Amino acid sequence: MLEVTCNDRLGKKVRVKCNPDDTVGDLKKLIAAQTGTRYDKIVLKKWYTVFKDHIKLSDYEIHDGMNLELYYQ
Amino acid sequence: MGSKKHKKESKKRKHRSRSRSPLDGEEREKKRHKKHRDRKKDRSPDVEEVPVDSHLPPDNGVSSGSRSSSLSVRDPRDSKPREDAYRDNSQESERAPSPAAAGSSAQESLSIEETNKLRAKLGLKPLEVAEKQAEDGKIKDDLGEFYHKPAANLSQQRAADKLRERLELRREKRQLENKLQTTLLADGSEDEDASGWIKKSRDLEKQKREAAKRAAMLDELDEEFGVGALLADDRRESRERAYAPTQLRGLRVAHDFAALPDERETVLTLADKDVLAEDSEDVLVNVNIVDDEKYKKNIEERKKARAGYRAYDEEAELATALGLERSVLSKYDDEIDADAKLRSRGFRLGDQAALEAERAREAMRAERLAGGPDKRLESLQLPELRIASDYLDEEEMQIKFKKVKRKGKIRKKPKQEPIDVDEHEAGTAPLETDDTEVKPEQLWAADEDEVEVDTELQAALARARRLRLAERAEHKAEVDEILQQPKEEPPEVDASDASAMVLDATAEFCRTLGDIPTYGLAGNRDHLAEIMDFERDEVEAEPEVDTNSGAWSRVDVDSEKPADIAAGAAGGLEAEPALGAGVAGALRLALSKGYLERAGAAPAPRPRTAAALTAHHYSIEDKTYGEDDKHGRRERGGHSGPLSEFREKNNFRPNIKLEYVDDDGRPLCPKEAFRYLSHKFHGKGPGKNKQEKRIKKAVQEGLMKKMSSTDTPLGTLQMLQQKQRETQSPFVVLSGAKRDANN
Repeated sequence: MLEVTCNDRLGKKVRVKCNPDDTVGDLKKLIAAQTGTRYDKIVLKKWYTVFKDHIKLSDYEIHDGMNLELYYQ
Repeated sequence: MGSKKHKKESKKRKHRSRSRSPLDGEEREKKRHKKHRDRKKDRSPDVEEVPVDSHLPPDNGVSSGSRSSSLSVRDPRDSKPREDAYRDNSQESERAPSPAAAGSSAQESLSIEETNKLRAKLGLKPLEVAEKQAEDGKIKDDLGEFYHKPAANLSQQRAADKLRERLELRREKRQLENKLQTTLLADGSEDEDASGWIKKSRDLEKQKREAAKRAAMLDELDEEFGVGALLADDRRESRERAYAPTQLRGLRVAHDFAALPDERETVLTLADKDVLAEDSEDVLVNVNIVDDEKYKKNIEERKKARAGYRAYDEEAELATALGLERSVLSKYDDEIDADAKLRSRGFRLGDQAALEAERAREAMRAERLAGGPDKRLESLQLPELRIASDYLDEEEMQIKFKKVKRKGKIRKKPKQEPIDVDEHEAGTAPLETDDTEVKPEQLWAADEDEVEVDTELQAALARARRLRLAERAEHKAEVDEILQQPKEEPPEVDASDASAMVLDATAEFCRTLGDIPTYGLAGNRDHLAEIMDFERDEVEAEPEVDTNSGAWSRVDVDSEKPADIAAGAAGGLEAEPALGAGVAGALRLALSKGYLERAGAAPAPRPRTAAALTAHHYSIEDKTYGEDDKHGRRERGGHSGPLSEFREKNNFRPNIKLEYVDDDGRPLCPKEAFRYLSHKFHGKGPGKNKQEKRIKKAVQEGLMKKMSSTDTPLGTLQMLQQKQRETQSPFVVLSGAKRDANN
């Protein structure tokens, strides 16, 4: 289990618990559940890397305590 | 602090709850329930935000949902009880209107349980809470890929090391103790107590006394039978037998035979030698002589060191010249194998032959040094070279040279033959020029320093002239013939008879000096006049050569009146005014003597007397020596330079008084002088106003100078005094002017 922090820097900052073998899409659904934003409107980024939905967190090397940028589309 | 924050949050919450549309209806319902419950619980909705447990530590506070969850992550083992605790707290946290408002921070985080619920709804597998520990104690990393070897516990390791060390030490100690298991000195001895020790010592003493007594008894017995003397003899004999001069034969004494003092006993001792030396022999030395030798050697070495590096040592040079090896930096030379030399030094006791040989060698050397009857030792050393000095030193000053007496003239004229006029052909006109080597160059080359030479020269000239005069009388006819010839003789030839002039230093001096005022006054100078007359007679024709010959200007003696010696006082100094009667006379005298300064005198008046004293026939050109004259230079053969040496005037202290006067003759101060010169230089004077101002100032100054110091400018005091004199009273009545005037 790992916990990532997602911040949109507009007032929303959530910590989400997830498994390393979850996909980014799963993470988005979890975030959507916590923030109330639709998951298909969420974009997750780290610097200029936009995380794609079908790829696992472990493949993106997202570890416990990481900060992800939360954008909307 | 808490209240303010919470107020803010409440606003936020409202906003959020409004915006939270996509949440599941069920959840929202649940939350509404919660809210409802909260409201029920709390009395005032405003105070609601102020948490009841704000005083509690934050870990079980309302807001610590995320924190508790993170704690549960850290130690998942006891997540159960924590979760229980959380559940207990959750009732409080449920007071919060939404999970978004749960934390004091803006973060929101669901607990594992909630997340799991959520995941179940989303169709995801639950969170892997418990990390599986490998059986071998190795820990998997986050991603479960790698095993990590647990890090060694450093403190444990250190403790183990310390323990091991201590154990080792103990063991070693034990071993040593086993090894040194001996009875101690104190343990073994019997005289532990004082009484035992005393007893023992007394026993010893008694035994000693008895032994002494026995020995005395035996001695007495020996005496009785005369054995004592026999024994002593025996002992001496045995000693002598053991140690005779023969025993010392062949023993080496490490000193020269000469070093041992004659007629005196010298105690020799065996020298120290190396214990491990293989070929060491016993050597006899005397300590004092050894010390002396060492001292001498040291001194020598020090001397060598002090001499330093001498690149041009004469001895060394000589040695190299003789083909010997030249030693470089000999002070660093060390004797190679000095020990061997030492070992062979000295002599052997009882080796008479060697001693004799040595003595003979010595004698031979002495003989050679002393030399035979016909030999003389001579040193090749030259006197020391010295740097030549320009000055005499004291020794040289004291050396007196023997004065060589001069006999007659030292300088002879080099082959000066009087010219034989007969030899000359008539056409060459020998009389035209004076060929007796009297050239103007020579004349002016005559320096005052060479008076002696001059006199010689003059004598020779005079002789030649006389000869010529005699000859001329004879050859008058010839001269006439010559005169007939086309080339016209200059008229001076004949006239020059009288105007010929002789130059010598005395005459020159006399002429330049001017007239000597007192000369001949005493009437004792007749002979000098004669001399001059004689000279005048002697004067002979000196044809006028070109007047432009050199810088030498001729003085026509005849054209000038010869100095009237008798007229003395006329030309020289002014006659001293007689001190007549009255002040006027005295003043005149004072003025003439310079005691008084004439008012308004010129700054540097050139006295008339000075003008009278200067030479009349002197011009600056006379002294130039024709430096840039080609003629002169050619004659001197190229080596130019002034004939009289340049003497610096060390004592020349000119008395200069620099004074400036303006157009009116008034003296100017430096400032004014500068202004004046500056105006002159630039050709631009001061303006009209300035000039007027200055004139006015000058006038004022003049008035100031004229002003009486005792009276007012209007002469009031004088008037007062006059009035007093008139009225014959010591006072003056001051009253109305008119009435007074009338009176």
